[in-house]
Amino acid sequence: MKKVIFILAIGTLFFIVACEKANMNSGAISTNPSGKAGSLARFAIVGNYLYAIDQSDLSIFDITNPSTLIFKKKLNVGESIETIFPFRDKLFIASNSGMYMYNITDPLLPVKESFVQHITGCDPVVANATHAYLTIRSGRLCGSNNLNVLEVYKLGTNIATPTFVTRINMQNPVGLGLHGNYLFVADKMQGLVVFDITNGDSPLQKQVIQGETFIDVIVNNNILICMLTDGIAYYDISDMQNITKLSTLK
Amino acid sequence: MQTNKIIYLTSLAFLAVASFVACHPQKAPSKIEGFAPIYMSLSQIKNIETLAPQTTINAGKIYQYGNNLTFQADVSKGIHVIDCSNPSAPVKLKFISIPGASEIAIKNNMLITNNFTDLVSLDISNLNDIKVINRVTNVYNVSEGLLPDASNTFFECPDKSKGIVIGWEKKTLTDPKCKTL
Repeated sequence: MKKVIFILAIGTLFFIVACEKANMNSGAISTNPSGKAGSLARFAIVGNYLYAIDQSDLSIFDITNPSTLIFKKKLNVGESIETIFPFRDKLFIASNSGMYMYNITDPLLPVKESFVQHITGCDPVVANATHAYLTIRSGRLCGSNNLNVLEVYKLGTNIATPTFVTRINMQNPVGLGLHGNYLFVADKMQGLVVFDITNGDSPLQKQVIQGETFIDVIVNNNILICMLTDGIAYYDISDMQNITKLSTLK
Repeated sequence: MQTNKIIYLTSLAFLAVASFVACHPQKAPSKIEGFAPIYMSLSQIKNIETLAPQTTINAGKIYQYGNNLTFQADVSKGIHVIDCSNPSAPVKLKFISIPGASEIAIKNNMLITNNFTDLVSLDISNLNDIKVINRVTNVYNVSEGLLPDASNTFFECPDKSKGIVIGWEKKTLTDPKCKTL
């Protein structure tokens, strides 16, 4: 009996090693369809892996096979982690005190590349090839300062070494989303603020869409899906000069 | 495993409450508006089921899967499944009741969410027959929702004998002993 278990164990080990090798060779890019999360997400799917952040840890799950969710490992990131945003081979992880950047070229071996500190506050982040945009808001669960801003960071070569560029005052900004040369910032009751970021260093406010209390956004081609305090709203963004509300669902 | 989780949650809640009460001894008016815990029994917290569409109570995070489906968490209660193939007239299709859920990620029709400190995966390939496929226990610790999300507000101190606190509801309280910062 012991012998059988031993052989099984060795077999399993070989199988695991073989699988990991296969995954590494295929890289993080996958053609299998995953969905789109908002900027407040604590879960991010990159390739065949799910990255989940809780209060302080980043956990990695293998989701190669849709019928198995396999916990791989957990690593400590820091205190009061709030959101995760995947971009290319990076994970942007926002905490109460700043933004971490992890390299996930090896999906099971995230490497911390940088951390930029900011004033304590809640702060989702989004990024493109040249810039990272994050909001900081105050509130009971976010720190007691009165800072409510959109911050812009310039990303160096290969999306590394973020450097602070500028800070724009907002009312109570929460989630954000990128759409080509535009950036949406959900500014709660103030509205959904639309910035032109053709010049990535200095977002230019174009419009504020009002009438709902906006918390977060997902850009899905020509449709903008908004998380509201009381439900969802859909907007047509095929013409950015004429953003049209399509519906709300509460 | 479950016992560990319960101990963890209740001790966290107890600590939080104790420190708040200790730091802010304050005489409350006998009747005041505040928050009361919504409890769920320990036997119910792992019970996941698909229900008919529900009214959105506490709108949570959103997730878009392809062009036709939007998912929205109802914080701590579950996930609304929405047909948005016509975004001018979205329709709620189902409500997946998942106590403690707040996060959503989907790939290959596998929906992953949190059921308190567990992660669970659901097969959503047939929306009329959503199945729990996997559960990874005790891997996820978020303390959100432990206290009412309001400052300087009275609340009814949680009573662990009534179960796990899964949320808060507004209520007229009689002589409350707990208060948020």
